[in-house]
Amino acid sequence: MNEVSVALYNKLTGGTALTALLAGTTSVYESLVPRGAALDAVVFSLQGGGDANWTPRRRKELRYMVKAVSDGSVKTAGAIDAQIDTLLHRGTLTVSGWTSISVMREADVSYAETTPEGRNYWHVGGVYRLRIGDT
Amino acid sequence: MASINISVKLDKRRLDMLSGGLKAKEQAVLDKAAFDVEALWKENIVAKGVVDTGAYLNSVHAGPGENEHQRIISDGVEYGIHQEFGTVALAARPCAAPAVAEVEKGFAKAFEELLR
Repeated sequence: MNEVSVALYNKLTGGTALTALLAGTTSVYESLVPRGAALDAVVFSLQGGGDANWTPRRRKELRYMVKAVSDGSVKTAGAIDAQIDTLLHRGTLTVSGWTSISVMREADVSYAETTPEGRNYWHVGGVYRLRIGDT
Repeated sequence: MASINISVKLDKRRLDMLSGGLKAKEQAVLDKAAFDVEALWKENIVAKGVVDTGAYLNSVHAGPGENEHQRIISDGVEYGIHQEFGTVALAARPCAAPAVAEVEKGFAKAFEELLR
Protein backbone atom coordinates (compact mmCIF):
# COMPACT_ATOMS: atom_id res chain seq x y z
CA MET A 1 0.00 0.00 0.00
CA ASN A 2 1.53 3.23 -1.10
CA GLU A 3 -0.20 5.23 1.64
CA VAL A 4 1.43 3.05 4.31
CA SER A 5 4.82 3.34 2.62
CA VAL A 6 4.55 7.13 2.67
CA ALA A 7 3.42 7.09 6.30
CA LEU A 8 6.33 4.89 7.38
CA TYR A 9 8.84 6.94 5.41
CA ASN A 10 7.58 10.18 6.93
CA LYS A 11 7.54 8.74 10.43
CA LEU A 12 11.06 7.37 10.19
CA THR A 13 12.68 10.35 8.46
CA GLY A 14 10.91 12.60 10.98
CA GLY A 15 12.80 11.04 13.86
CA THR A 16 15.93 13.11 14.28
CA ALA A 17 17.42 10.77 16.89
CA LEU A 18 17.12 8.03 14.27
CA THR A 19 18.34 9.92 11.22
CA ALA A 20 21.35 11.20 13.20
CA LEU A 21 22.59 7.59 13.21
CA LEU A 22 22.12 7.10 9.45
CA ALA A 23 24.29 8.05 6.49
CA GLY A 24 21.88 10.87 5.71
CA THR A 25 18.60 12.30 6.92
CA THR A 26 16.76 10.52 4.11
CA SER A 27 18.56 7.18 4.26
CA VAL A 28 15.26 5.34 4.62
CA TYR A 29 14.26 3.05 1.78
CA GLU A 30 11.46 0.71 0.85
CA SER A 31 12.49 -2.84 -0.02
CA LEU A 32 16.10 -2.17 -0.95
CA VAL A 33 19.04 0.15 -0.43
CA PRO A 34 19.70 1.66 -3.87
CA ARG A 35 22.94 0.54 -5.47
CA GLY A 36 25.77 2.84 -4.40
CA ALA A 37 23.79 4.52 -1.62
CA ALA A 38 25.70 5.16 1.58
CA LEU A 39 25.10 3.14 4.70
CA ASP A 40 23.92 3.02 7.45
CA ALA A 41 20.31 2.96 6.36
CA VAL A 42 16.83 1.82 7.27
CA VAL A 43 14.88 -0.53 5.01
CA PHE A 44 11.22 -1.40 5.38
CA SER A 45 9.07 -3.78 3.39
CA LEU A 46 5.72 -5.51 3.51
CA GLN A 47 6.00 -9.02 4.89
CA GLY A 48 2.40 -10.11 4.74
CA GLY A 49 -1.16 -9.45 5.74
CA GLY A 50 -4.07 -7.68 4.14
CA ASP A 51 -7.77 -7.13 4.75
CA ALA A 52 -8.98 -8.56 8.04
CA ASN A 53 -12.60 -9.04 6.88
CA TRP A 54 -13.84 -9.60 10.43
CA THR A 55 -16.48 -6.90 10.43
CA PRO A 56 -18.37 -4.87 7.81
CA ARG A 57 -15.90 -2.05 8.42
CA ARG A 58 -12.81 -2.26 6.31
CA ARG A 59 -9.70 -2.93 8.32
CA LYS A 60 -6.23 -4.02 7.36
CA GLU A 61 -3.66 -5.91 9.36
CA LEU A 62 -0.24 -5.58 7.79
CA ARG A 63 3.13 -6.88 8.88
CA TYR A 64 6.04 -4.69 7.96
CA MET A 65 9.68 -5.48 8.51
CA VAL A 66 11.64 -2.38 9.48
CA LYS A 67 15.36 -2.93 9.93
CA ALA A 68 18.70 -1.22 10.13
CA VAL A 69 21.31 -2.16 7.56
CA SER A 70 24.85 -1.37 8.66
CA ASP A 71 28.27 -2.02 7.22
CA GLY A 72 29.81 -0.98 10.54
CA SER A 73 28.82 -3.40 13.29
CA VAL A 74 25.93 -5.26 14.79
CA LYS A 75 26.09 -2.81 17.71
CA THR A 76 25.52 0.12 15.38
CA ALA A 77 22.65 -1.68 13.68
CA GLY A 78 21.18 -2.44 17.10
CA ALA A 79 21.34 1.22 18.13
CA ILE A 80 19.48 2.21 14.98
CA ASP A 81 16.91 -0.50 15.63
CA ALA A 82 16.36 0.88 19.12
CA GLN A 83 15.48 4.25 17.63
CA ILE A 84 13.15 2.63 15.09
CA ASP A 85 11.44 0.84 17.96
CA THR A 86 11.03 4.08 19.90
CA LEU A 87 9.34 5.68 16.92
CA LEU A 88 7.05 2.83 15.92
CA HIS A 89 6.14 0.48 18.78
CA ARG A 90 2.84 1.63 20.32
CA GLY A 91 3.11 4.73 18.18
CA THR A 92 0.79 6.08 15.54
CA LEU A 93 1.08 6.55 11.81
CA THR A 94 -0.53 9.16 9.62
CA VAL A 95 -1.89 7.06 6.76
CA SER A 96 -3.74 9.08 4.14
CA GLY A 97 -7.36 7.91 3.84
CA TRP A 98 -7.09 5.56 6.80
CA THR A 99 -7.24 5.69 10.57
CA SER A 100 -4.23 4.30 12.38
CA ILE A 101 -5.41 1.86 15.04
CA SER A 102 -2.15 0.49 16.35
CA VAL A 103 1.46 -0.24 15.58
CA MET A 104 2.95 -3.10 17.55
CA ARG A 105 6.31 -4.79 17.31
CA GLU A 106 5.81 -8.52 17.35
CA ALA A 107 9.07 -10.11 16.23
CA ASP A 108 12.77 -9.33 16.25
CA VAL A 109 15.03 -9.76 13.26
CA SER A 110 18.82 -10.01 13.47
CA TYR A 111 21.28 -11.55 11.07
CA ALA A 112 24.59 -11.00 9.36
CA GLU A 113 25.33 -11.16 5.69
CA THR A 114 28.65 -11.80 4.01
CA THR A 115 28.84 -11.01 0.33
CA PRO A 116 30.91 -13.06 -2.12
CA GLU A 117 33.48 -10.23 -2.04
CA GLY A 118 33.83 -10.71 1.70
CA ARG A 119 32.01 -7.60 2.85
CA ASN A 120 29.93 -7.90 6.00
CA TYR A 121 26.56 -6.29 6.61
CA TRP A 122 24.39 -6.44 9.68
CA HIS A 123 20.62 -6.40 9.59
CA VAL A 124 18.81 -5.69 12.86
CA GLY A 125 15.17 -4.72 13.18
CA GLY A 126 11.71 -5.96 13.85
CA VAL A 127 8.43 -7.00 12.32
CA TYR A 128 5.63 -4.60 13.16
CA ARG A 129 1.91 -5.29 12.93
CA LEU A 130 0.10 -2.26 11.59
CA ARG A 131 -3.65 -2.05 12.11
CA ILE A 132 -5.49 0.55 10.05
CA GLY A 133 -9.19 1.02 9.47
CA ASP A 134 -11.35 3.00 7.10
CA THR A 135 -12.01 6.54 8.21
CA MET B 1 -31.94 -33.99 67.97
CA ALA B 2 -32.92 -34.32 64.40
CA SER B 3 -30.33 -33.41 61.81
CA ILE B 4 -30.25 -33.01 58.12
CA ASN B 5 -27.49 -34.68 56.28
CA ILE B 6 -26.80 -33.65 52.75
CA SER B 7 -24.45 -35.62 50.63
CA VAL B 8 -23.13 -34.32 47.35
CA LYS B 9 -21.40 -36.57 44.94
CA LEU B 10 -19.51 -34.95 42.13
CA ASP B 11 -19.43 -37.17 39.12
CA LYS B 12 -16.56 -35.91 36.97
CA ARG B 13 -16.67 -38.67 34.45
CA ARG B 14 -18.48 -36.56 31.87
CA LEU B 15 -16.26 -33.55 32.58
CA ASP B 16 -13.11 -35.66 32.22
CA MET B 17 -14.41 -37.06 28.98
CA LEU B 18 -15.07 -33.55 27.66
CA SER B 19 -11.69 -32.18 28.71
CA GLY B 20 -9.94 -35.21 27.28
CA GLY B 21 -11.66 -34.70 23.96
CA LEU B 22 -10.82 -31.01 24.05
CA LYS B 23 -7.11 -31.75 24.34
CA ALA B 24 -7.19 -34.07 21.36
CA LYS B 25 -9.04 -31.46 19.33
CA GLU B 26 -6.57 -28.77 20.38
CA GLN B 27 -3.72 -30.93 19.13
CA ALA B 28 -5.54 -31.46 15.86
CA VAL B 29 -6.08 -27.70 15.43
CA LEU B 30 -2.41 -26.99 16.14
CA ASP B 31 -1.24 -29.73 13.77
CA LYS B 32 -3.52 -28.48 11.01
CA ALA B 33 -2.35 -24.88 11.44
CA ALA B 34 1.30 -25.96 11.37
CA PHE B 35 0.91 -28.07 8.25
CA ASP B 36 -1.13 -25.33 6.57
CA VAL B 37 1.69 -22.84 7.23
CA GLU B 38 4.22 -25.33 5.83
CA ALA B 39 2.14 -25.87 2.70
CA LEU B 40 1.52 -22.16 2.10
CA TRP B 41 5.17 -21.30 2.80
CA LYS B 42 6.18 -23.79 0.10
CA GLU B 43 3.52 -22.47 -2.26
CA ASN B 44 4.93 -18.97 -1.79
CA ILE B 45 8.47 -20.15 -2.51
CA VAL B 46 7.33 -21.59 -5.82
CA ALA B 47 5.00 -18.68 -6.68
CA LYS B 48 7.70 -16.09 -6.03
CA GLY B 49 10.33 -18.03 -7.92
CA VAL B 50 12.59 -18.42 -4.89
CA VAL B 51 13.76 -21.77 -6.23
CA ASP B 52 17.14 -22.68 -7.61
CA THR B 53 18.17 -26.12 -6.45
CA GLY B 54 15.03 -26.77 -4.40
CA ALA B 55 17.02 -27.07 -1.17
CA TYR B 56 15.11 -24.22 0.53
CA LEU B 57 11.76 -25.52 -0.68
CA ASN B 58 12.43 -29.05 0.48
CA SER B 59 13.83 -27.95 3.84
CA VAL B 60 10.63 -26.24 5.05
CA HIS B 61 8.95 -28.48 7.58
CA ALA B 62 6.53 -28.44 10.52
CA GLY B 63 7.35 -30.24 13.72
CA PRO B 64 6.65 -30.39 17.45
CA GLY B 65 7.47 -27.41 19.64
CA GLU B 66 8.97 -27.13 23.09
CA ASN B 67 5.68 -28.18 24.66
CA GLU B 68 2.41 -29.75 23.56
CA HIS B 69 0.83 -26.35 22.89
CA GLN B 70 3.46 -25.30 20.40
CA ARG B 71 4.47 -26.22 16.87
CA ILE B 72 7.56 -25.02 15.03
CA ILE B 73 7.66 -24.52 11.30
CA SER B 74 11.16 -23.82 10.04
CA ASP B 75 13.49 -24.01 7.10
CA GLY B 76 16.85 -25.72 7.04
CA VAL B 77 19.06 -23.55 4.89
CA GLU B 78 21.19 -20.64 6.07
CA TYR B 79 20.06 -18.36 3.24
CA GLY B 80 16.35 -18.71 4.00
CA ILE B 81 16.50 -15.66 6.26
CA HIS B 82 18.11 -13.66 3.44
CA GLN B 83 15.17 -14.50 1.19
CA GLU B 84 12.64 -13.71 3.92
CA PHE B 85 14.13 -10.39 5.04
CA GLY B 86 16.43 -9.39 2.19
CA THR B 87 20.11 -8.58 1.84
CA VAL B 88 21.94 -5.38 1.10
CA ALA B 89 21.58 -6.11 -2.63
CA LEU B 90 18.42 -8.21 -2.69
CA ALA B 91 14.93 -7.14 -1.72
CA ALA B 92 13.07 -9.36 0.72
CA ARG B 93 10.91 -12.03 -0.85
CA PRO B 94 8.91 -13.12 2.19
CA CYS B 95 7.39 -16.56 1.95
CA ALA B 96 6.92 -17.55 5.60
CA ALA B 97 5.26 -14.39 6.92
CA PRO B 98 2.42 -14.35 4.35
CA ALA B 99 1.77 -18.01 5.11
CA VAL B 100 1.47 -17.30 8.83
CA ALA B 101 -0.77 -14.30 8.18
CA GLU B 102 -3.10 -16.39 6.02
CA VAL B 103 -3.41 -19.23 8.53
CA GLU B 104 -3.78 -16.80 11.41
CA LYS B 105 -7.07 -15.56 9.93
CA GLY B 106 -8.84 -18.83 10.71
CA PHE B 107 -6.85 -19.82 13.79
CA ALA B 108 -8.92 -18.02 16.43
CA LYS B 109 -12.14 -19.29 14.87
CA ALA B 110 -10.85 -22.87 14.90
CA PHE B 111 -10.27 -22.61 18.65
CA GLU B 112 -13.68 -21.04 19.19
CA GLU B 113 -15.19 -24.10 17.52
CA LEU B 114 -13.48 -26.31 20.11
CA LEU B 115 -15.49 -24.76 22.90
CA ARG B 116 -18.91 -25.19 21.28
